[in-house]
Amino acid sequence: MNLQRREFFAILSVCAANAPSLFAMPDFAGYQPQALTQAEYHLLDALAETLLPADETGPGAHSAHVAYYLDVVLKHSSTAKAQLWKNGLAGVEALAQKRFERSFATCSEPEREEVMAELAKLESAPQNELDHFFVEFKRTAIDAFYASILIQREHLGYQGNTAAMEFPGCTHADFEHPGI
Amino acid sequence: MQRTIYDVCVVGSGPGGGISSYVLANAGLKVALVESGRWLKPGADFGGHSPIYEKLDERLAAQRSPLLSVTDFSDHNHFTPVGDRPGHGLLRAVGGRSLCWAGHSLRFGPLDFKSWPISYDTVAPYYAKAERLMCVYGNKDGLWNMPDGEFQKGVPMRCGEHALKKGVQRLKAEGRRMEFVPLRKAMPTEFHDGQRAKCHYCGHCMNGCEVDAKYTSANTPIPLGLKTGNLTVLSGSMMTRILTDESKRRVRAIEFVDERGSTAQLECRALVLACSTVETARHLLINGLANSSGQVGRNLTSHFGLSVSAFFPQLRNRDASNDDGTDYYHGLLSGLYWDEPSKNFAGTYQVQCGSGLHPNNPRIQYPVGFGRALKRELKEKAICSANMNMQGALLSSPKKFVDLDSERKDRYGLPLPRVHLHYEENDVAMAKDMVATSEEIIHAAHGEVLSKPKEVTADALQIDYNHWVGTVRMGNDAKTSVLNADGQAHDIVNLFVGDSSVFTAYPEKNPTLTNIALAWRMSERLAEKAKRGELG
Repeated sequence: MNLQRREFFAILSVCAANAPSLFAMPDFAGYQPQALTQAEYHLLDALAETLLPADETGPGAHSAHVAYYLDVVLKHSSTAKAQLWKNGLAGVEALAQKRFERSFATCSEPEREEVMAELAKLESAPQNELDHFFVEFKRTAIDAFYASILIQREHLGYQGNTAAMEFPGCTHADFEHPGI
Repeated sequence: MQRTIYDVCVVGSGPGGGISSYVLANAGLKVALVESGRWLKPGADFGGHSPIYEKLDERLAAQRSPLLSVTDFSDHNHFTPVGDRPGHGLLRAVGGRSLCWAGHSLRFGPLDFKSWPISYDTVAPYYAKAERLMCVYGNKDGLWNMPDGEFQKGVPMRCGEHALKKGVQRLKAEGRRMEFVPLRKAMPTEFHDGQRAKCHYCGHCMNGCEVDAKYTSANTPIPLGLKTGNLTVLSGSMMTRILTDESKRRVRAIEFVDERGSTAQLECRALVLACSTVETARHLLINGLANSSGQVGRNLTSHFGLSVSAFFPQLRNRDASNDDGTDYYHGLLSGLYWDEPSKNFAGTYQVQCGSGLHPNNPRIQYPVGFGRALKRELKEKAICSANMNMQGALLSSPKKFVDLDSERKDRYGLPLPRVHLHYEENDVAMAKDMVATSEEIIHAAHGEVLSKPKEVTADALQIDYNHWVGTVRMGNDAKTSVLNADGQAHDIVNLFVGDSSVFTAYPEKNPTLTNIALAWRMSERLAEKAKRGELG
């Protein structure tokens, strides 16, 4: 086969393989949590959305299926880690009940933010189990958020992971010879 | 047992073994390439284009990283670490570690060969041959100790790298000696008449190139060797013994276990070991060969480093739609301490610089806070940051070496290697210098330091486990070196080494291009000696 034709087909196959509709993504809607209970899963989903909410810059953690990612990670984690998270979620729920006498999931957005402000108070120097849970939850949720194609494209504006004939490099006007 | 005779047996199919097989087969010799791993299929066995969510459950269940990567085939438990967190990137597959390298291809310069038994001028023609075959891209930068090569069209830098370059230019204007240049890598940027597709700038190079554009032993020299009709590849075959004549001064065969578990002997007129710096030393130690100097396993060194990251507010409004390019690092801080050595440490370092968003790995930070403010900050940091990754040459000393573990054995009953790494004052002093220099550059570029090590101690240093060199070094004196200047053992006339274990000394530059150039030269010497009947 002519080399240029071969290259053309190689690049074409990458483009085809990267059409989002062709990815065999999990069935997020029908997903049954495997590490957490249904109630814990809904709480985690609400907690992730409070951490990384939908706003004018793009979708939030709920649309990115961050809770799915976290449940799968916990499923393959040690029992001690899964227990830390379960205890942490129970701690969040207790905090919401104490402040607003209702579950975190049914709290209003400002109420959820108030609970999260309490959770985040010691994130730079965590002291107790709940603090440690929050630090770990936040880090893993951020990883999960940016692993989502939806977030990469609609929040970050990233259009890569595709086949390009050339790489333009920097096109910012501040640089005298941006193409170098 | 089966009995087969070859002119040369090459063990290991990584960067050095791959090129040796091709050069020797092309010279008309009958070559057997013995590789413990199997052939991998790009796009099926590895391929970074798949989204992380797609196979998250399946991959975590298999105790793999979320991303489908060729490094899944690495064997991380193969060695026993001793001291300061050494690592060993043994990748069992046809092509070895050439499958997961980033392609950085920098010539060593005249200064770097100062203590070697060969000079830059001796190696230069082999660099040129290697660059042509590998399709190395780059710019003509005119740096005296990182000479230009035979390049394909260079790949531009991103905005973050340009910002750092501005900082370097400002410091140079004040008299500082340093350079900032675009990186050079082994990926075709132009249509060519070789084996591989043109790079499509997806940025997944180190996960394994899905369309095989990046140079690997498996996609270029081994197929070329097979085309000659002189090369036989024995994949899934592990060498278990080196057999010599009674004098132990001539190899006559190797014993290996094939993929079905059968043991066989492979007789050869010459043996090339290209198993990796750690593994080649291990096999020589196990077999008690080529070690009259006592230097096998000694003089181990690698690259080490740490990172400093920068934030450039001036990049807030840049176009960040596609920063992929050719993996993360597009810029290189180089030329440090070439002209005038540091007063605080021996050797030098370079700094690989990258920036921007990256598929499945946007290099995010973890700022404090939550909600909309956190989201805004995360986005801004991802778009406006740059990372400076130090690559320093570890001081070679008696504290760093490879030997055999008397307790742990592999599935063939062979002792596993121990890798001894102990950072020394010189290493820490070099790292401190890197942090200080990086901060100066960032400030000169009107940026802010986003992250740096809290304290530069041995605990903060990270070893590059793919860059080990020097356990079987070349030298003119048989009392202080294992190999002569041709990569031939002083003690055994028909034993040659084709991996990076041959390095006499180590500069800051990446090892693979030099490994390939030296293996090419060694193979030509071997073929000439074989034709002249000088291999016993």
